[in-house]
Amino acid sequence: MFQRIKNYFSREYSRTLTKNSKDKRISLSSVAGRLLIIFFLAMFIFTFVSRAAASFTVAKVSVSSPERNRLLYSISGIGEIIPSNEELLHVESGYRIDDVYVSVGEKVNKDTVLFCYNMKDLKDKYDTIENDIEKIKLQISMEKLRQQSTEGVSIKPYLMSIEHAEENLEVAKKKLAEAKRDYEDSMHKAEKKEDEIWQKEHESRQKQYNKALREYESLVFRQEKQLKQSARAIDDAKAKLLQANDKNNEINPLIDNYIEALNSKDKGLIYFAEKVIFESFYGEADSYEQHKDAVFNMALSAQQDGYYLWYLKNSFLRYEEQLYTTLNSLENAKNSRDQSDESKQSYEYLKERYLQAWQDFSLVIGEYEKQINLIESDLDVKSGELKKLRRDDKKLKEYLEALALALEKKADIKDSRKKLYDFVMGDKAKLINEEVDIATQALTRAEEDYELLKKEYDLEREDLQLEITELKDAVVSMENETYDSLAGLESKEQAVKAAEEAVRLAEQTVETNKLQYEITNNQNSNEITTQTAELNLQSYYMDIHKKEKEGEEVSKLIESSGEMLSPYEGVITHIGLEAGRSTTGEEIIKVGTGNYVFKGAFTRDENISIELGGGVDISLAGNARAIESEIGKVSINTDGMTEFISSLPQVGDYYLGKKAEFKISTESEQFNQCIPIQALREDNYGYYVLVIGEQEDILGMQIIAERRNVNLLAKGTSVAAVEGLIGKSQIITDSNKYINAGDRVRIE
Amino acid sequence: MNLLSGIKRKLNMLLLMILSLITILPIWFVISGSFMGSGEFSKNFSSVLSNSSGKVSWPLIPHYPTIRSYIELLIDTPRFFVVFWNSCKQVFPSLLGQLLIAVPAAWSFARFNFKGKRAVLTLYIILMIMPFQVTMVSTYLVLDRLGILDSHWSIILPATFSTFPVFIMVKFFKAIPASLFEAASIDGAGEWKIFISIGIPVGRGGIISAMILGFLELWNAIEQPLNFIKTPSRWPLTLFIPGISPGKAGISLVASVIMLLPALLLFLYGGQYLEQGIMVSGIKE
Repeated sequence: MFQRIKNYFSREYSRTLTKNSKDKRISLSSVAGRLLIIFFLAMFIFTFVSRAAASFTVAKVSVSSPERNRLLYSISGIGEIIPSNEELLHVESGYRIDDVYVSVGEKVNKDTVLFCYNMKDLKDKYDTIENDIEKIKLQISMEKLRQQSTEGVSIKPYLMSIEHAEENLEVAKKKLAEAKRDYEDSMHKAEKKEDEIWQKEHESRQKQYNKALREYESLVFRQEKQLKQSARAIDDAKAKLLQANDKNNEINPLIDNYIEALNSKDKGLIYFAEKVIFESFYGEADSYEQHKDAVFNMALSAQQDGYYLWYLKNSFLRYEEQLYTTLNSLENAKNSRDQSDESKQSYEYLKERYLQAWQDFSLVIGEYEKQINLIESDLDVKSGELKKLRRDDKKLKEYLEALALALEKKADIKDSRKKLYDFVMGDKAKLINEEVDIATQALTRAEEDYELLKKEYDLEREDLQLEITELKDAVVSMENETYDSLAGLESKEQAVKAAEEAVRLAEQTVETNKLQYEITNNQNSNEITTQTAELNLQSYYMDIHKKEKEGEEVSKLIESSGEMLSPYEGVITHIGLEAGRSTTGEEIIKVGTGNYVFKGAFTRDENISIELGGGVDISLAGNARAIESEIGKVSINTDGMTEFISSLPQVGDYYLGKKAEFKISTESEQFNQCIPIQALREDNYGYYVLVIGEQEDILGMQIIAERRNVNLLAKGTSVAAVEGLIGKSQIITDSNKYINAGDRVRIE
Repeated sequence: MNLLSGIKRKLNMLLLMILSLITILPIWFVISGSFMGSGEFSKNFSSVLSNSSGKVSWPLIPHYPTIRSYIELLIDTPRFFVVFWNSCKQVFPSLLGQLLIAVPAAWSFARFNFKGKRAVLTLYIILMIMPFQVTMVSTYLVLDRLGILDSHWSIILPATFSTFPVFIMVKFFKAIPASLFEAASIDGAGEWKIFISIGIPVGRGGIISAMILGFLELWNAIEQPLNFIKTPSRWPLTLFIPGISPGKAGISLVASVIMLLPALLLFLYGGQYLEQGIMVSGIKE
């Protein structure tokens, strides 16, 4: 069977080969020819297909040329709605805040209570101010006194003042150092463990308290010492005044003695009383004797033969001594209580001798006076000098005789007595009166200094006692574990400030006193002293004015129970207070008044500048349409960001603190080569752009993307300014797929 | 005797089959390689591609055949069609030129006797047997003087005046019996009529053979375009294929297959004439 089939196929194959061999060859050629045509047709079709496919694979690009243009910047950010006007409220420093009644965003009316100061702090402050005012008033009084007693003022009070001021300065410096140390210790302690802090704080407080007690004792001692010195100065002043008054009164007893002698009509007594007055007129006995000698010598030199005059002078002296001796003996006898006959006889004898001595003396002195008068009247050449010498003697004699005559006539001797007194005293009366005035002023000033010193010491003692009390309270509070470390720290800080102020004042006082001392010591700078005093007074008045003002403000706060009222109607925009903390004066409380405005801030690029009046779009959340506004105010805030304010319509869907988005469009200076921002590329080698270039390859002249490196000058929202492009380069600004340098592209 | 002749015949067949395999295998490798994926290609030829030592394996049938390379070449490589049509632009005008020049020339050599005919024919033969490298410089100078370098004409013009088709067709035309021409003359046919009506139809085999051989020569020409054409956009396929990078070897093989196809189809189309031509010329391409 198999063989038969095989034979059949073999036979059929052979027959087919022999029969159709020629047809078969023709058929293969024909098929090949057709295939060949089909092949070329297929290639033709694929040519188009591949070209079409290439159009999909080759990137289509948009091109543009660089232009001279300005850059557009778009600034956007988030801002908030704020009041158009904010009023800053003043917060007094150094008080604790008991309570804060308002919060940010809360509406307040005028006189709404904002917060409340601690009343105790206010009262303490008021007391301190009152004390300060008193001190300044005392200083003013002292300055006035110094000013009044500038002339002839002793430098001793100034030395004392300097010494006192320096002591005060030392004390103030010590207190400052202690306060600082205390403050630093407190600060240091705040960083340590609580127990340790408490222990050390307690010890420190105890030490401070003990030290304050010691200082108090020391202060009392020093003050007593100073007061003693001041009291001594008063005694000295009193002694000087007494001495001045004694000088003033030394002539009156002589006149009284003379009047008494006149009343006794005892010529001897009258002579000696007159002599004493003469001696007083010439200063003292020796001076009068020298004067008489001068008259005698001048008269003697005017005579050819002066023996007689010389004789008379010696006799006059001898009889005068005799008269004086007998007068004393008679006075002794008169004063004797011995009433015996012998004594009476002796008295009578002495009286007789006295009268005899007077007769002798009166003769001699009469003759002597007569001779002197003769010489004076005879001499022409030297009479002038002699007359000058004797003119005062004659005048004094006239005043004495006038008084005697008035007494004899029993007339009023007051006038003649005064004339006599004035003549005898002469210039000395003015000097003595001035000396009395100075001594009186010195005494008054010393007494006032004493009083001022005492008052000042009293205040110092009160301050120190107050400090001791506070320290003791602090110790007790700590022991009772109620001590507020924070308050303590703040009070210590305040104490440091107060101590610094005290040091400053003490230094100022020392400097002032030194200046006054120097001025006074120079004795010729009354005007400067006066001016300095005036300046000091002005300074004190300014200080006192300031203190009074402070006092008024504190007083007002106390009257209003420490409540701070809002002076404006508006919304609280900022409140930097916290209940329980002490104020430093730097706390900020702001009340927003007026309409709403928009405040935005952004970080500004160097190339971007915004203008006042420039447009800004404000988009509020929930509002599809942005509000078109203008930039009204531009400033730099504390973070270095540019801040601007834009007005808002009076009516709108906004409220204080609402956030909103803003957008500002602005433009730069003009640049020569500006390109679309999307054309700018950057890699590790810097900025570049792709430009249209041509390249010859198998497909012919192909358009490709070529790289051009550029320097970026500025970059805006949609345009970048560059340099480095040559001519009218066609810059690829966009493509439908990502391309690199060298890629084939086709221009749309 | 029959058994011995049978064995002998089978041995001859076996020998011929082995020889045929040696001839066919390279073509098969090209065709099978064109269906090879890039991954498989890299795996098999890694030592060649990376220029390192190792063995190359070329499977008869790819493990994962794919037409990706065909699609890539035919769809994604428009440059290929440029060079393909460049080849066409150079080959077909050349063949047309040969028809216009070589056929009359061969007819003249075969039909007419004139003075110097032998010398000219000898010169033709000498020029034909000269390798291209010998005439390259002189041809270049002439083309330069004519100003057609770096253009398709630099290929077309020298090919148009090729001596080889004249040589082949002379043989064919000479083989036509002279009595045929005499009969035509008696019937009143002129020389042009005899050429058109008798010469070309009777000598069709020679003409087709010359055209097929000419196509094969020009289609595979590499030295002429390499020397006379500088612009890549005018290059033919023969210059494009070597320029494909090793990484694109699949595309290169597909291009080779496509380049092979017209030659193969043309051979099949005019195989009988080609055999005649080869027999006549005694030249094996």
